[in-house]
Amino acid sequence: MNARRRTARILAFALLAALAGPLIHGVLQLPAPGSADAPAHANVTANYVERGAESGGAENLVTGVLLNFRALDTFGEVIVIFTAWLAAAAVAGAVSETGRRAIPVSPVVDYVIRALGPFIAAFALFVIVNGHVLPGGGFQGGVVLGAMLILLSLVLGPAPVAGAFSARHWAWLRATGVLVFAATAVIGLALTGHLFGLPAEPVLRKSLMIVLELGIGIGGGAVLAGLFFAVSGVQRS
Amino acid sequence: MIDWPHWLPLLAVLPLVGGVLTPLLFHRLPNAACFWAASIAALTLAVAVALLVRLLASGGFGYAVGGWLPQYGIELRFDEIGALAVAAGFIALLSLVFSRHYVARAVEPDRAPLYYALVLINLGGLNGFLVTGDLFNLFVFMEIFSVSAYALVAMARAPIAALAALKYLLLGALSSLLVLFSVGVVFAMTGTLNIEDAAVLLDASSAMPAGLALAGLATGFAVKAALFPVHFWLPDAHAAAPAPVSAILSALVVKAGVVGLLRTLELFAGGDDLLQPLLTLIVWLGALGALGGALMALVQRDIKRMLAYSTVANIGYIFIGLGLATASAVSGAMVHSVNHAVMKSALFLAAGAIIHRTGLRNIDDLRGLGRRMPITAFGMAVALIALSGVPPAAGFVGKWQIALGALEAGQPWLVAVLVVAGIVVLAFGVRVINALYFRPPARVPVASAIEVPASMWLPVLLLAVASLALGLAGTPMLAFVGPAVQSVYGTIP
Repeated sequence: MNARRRTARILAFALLAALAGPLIHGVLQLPAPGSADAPAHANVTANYVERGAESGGAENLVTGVLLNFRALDTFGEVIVIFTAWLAAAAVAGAVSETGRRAIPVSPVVDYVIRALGPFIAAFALFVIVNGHVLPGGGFQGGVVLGAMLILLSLVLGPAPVAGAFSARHWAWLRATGVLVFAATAVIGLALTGHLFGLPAEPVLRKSLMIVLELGIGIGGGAVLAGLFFAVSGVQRS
Repeated sequence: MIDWPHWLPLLAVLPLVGGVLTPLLFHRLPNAACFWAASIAALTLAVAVALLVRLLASGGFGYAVGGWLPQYGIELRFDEIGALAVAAGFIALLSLVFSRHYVARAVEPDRAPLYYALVLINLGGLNGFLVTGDLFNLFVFMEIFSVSAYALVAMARAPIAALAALKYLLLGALSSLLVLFSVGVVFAMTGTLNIEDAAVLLDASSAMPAGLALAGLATGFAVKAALFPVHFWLPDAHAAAPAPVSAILSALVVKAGVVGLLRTLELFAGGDDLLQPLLTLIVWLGALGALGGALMALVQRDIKRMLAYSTVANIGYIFIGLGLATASAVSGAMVHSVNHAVMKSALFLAAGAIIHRTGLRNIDDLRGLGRRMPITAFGMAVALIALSGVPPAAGFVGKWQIALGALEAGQPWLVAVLVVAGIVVLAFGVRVINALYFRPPARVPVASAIEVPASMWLPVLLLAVASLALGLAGTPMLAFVGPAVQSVYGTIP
């Protein structure tokens, strides 16, 4: 059995090496990253860099691309995140009434995590609402928020954290990203004549973008916490 | 109303948002969730029909999402390939109607709304995939229908379902990774993600980075389409899933892999040195898949496994057609994609109805069921005959065209492959029909079985009738896909 496993391992390694060869060879032939005349920097990207901040409506170009130029992709990604939770909830084990109890941790860790909670939440909010100027935004802030909820669940046990809202409210929170995005898409249709369009008027556009980032952040954080709850068996749908 | 430009993005957005709302609005209300999901699917079908009417009236058209020029934003395009969305809407709607009674038993009641949500999200992802003109957007929509499909397979109660779903998930994730990597390579070479734009800018003569992208895209989509030899995830997943999910997966989700390959060929149009070896390889793998799938179907005892292997065989036919690259073969492959979708969903739903009523899935146990469940058995028999390619039913058109293409391309041996595979398909069809109609019942559940409710037999019957009717519509369908053949392959004989 052991000899067999070893042969399988050697074969797998040989196969991987054989596949990696052409992959590395191919990637080395690509235009060098960072060179100014590489097509990846010259073509569409050059236009984003030149006029993106103005026409995209965000000083952080990445945010402009995500929320404005390629909004449909971002909408799709928000759907994928929500679907991940649906999938976990659909296949997770049976719901236990009390949920798993907190694993005892040292009082120092317990105290530090409780004390850090509000600061982590404030940082998440900062990352979310500053996404149009600084690196960050809804996805990143949402992950920070979700990480805080999971940390607290590890210390306090998932039940009290999950119990902060009713199951119904959690469900709506998880869908916030999708619903806010869909609403913005329709508002865009009314204001610009294009689904997923954002109005050119700067203040209105900026407010819509912040609302979008907040929706994505809250939805993402709730989905992350929801994945943790689904796996630990405190909450399903 | 038909010319309202915003129908095109709604084709994807409507079922996606409808799906997300399902568990919120109908928590613990499985029947209401089913009614809601079916209504959303019906609306989506109406949107798809409106788009088809516009396409027939004035040719292909696009939509600039957010109002940005195609390269800078995302462009959606509705063409003859995207018109597959009509079949997707039709089959998803009938599967949802069928699900009401089936899912009440196959899935725990408080998870049923999640099931309906996943089906709608799957439909939205498929529709978006069919109509997008942007490479990265293609990947995003592929992830949406893939992730929902993995979960839907796992929702069946049988323990094997979780394993089958895990296998499907691992293979599917690997193929998604290959596609994403290749999209990155294309972007690095061209600096654009718009397919039309990239097709112009891509230097398909440079063998290496372009060849890498082509190989990655083709392999990734071949896994999604279950082309031999990367088909091995399919029989488990399609046999273990709840029956309406099997119908959607076998009819539509594997076809997304075919459409992905068509979009890839469009991207590399003109790079004959790269494409030719790929097309030759596809013909060979298709032939092996057609023969192997048909033979494996013949030796199965489980009816859903048999149907799953038959899907491998039919994907083989379709890839033979795409690889031959003559106008008749490619149009035949495109038409067969639609016709197979209708026939196979009829068969999976009929099998689901039988399993729902009797709990039996072994073909030999179904003896005498034709008398107890006349409509379901009739639907299954008709769809089996259509599938085997007896003229003038729907299975005939595509295979005939692919055989014609083989002769045109000077590869008569492929006709032999098609004939042999066709005979094997007829053989397993006859085996099932013989059990249903010409043998006395051998099992107690059969003797006491009664016909399923109308919400289950009506979808089966409609799809069975459609698999006859589509055979008669062969000529107009072939003429309809003509422009798509030209836009993917350029001018071919």
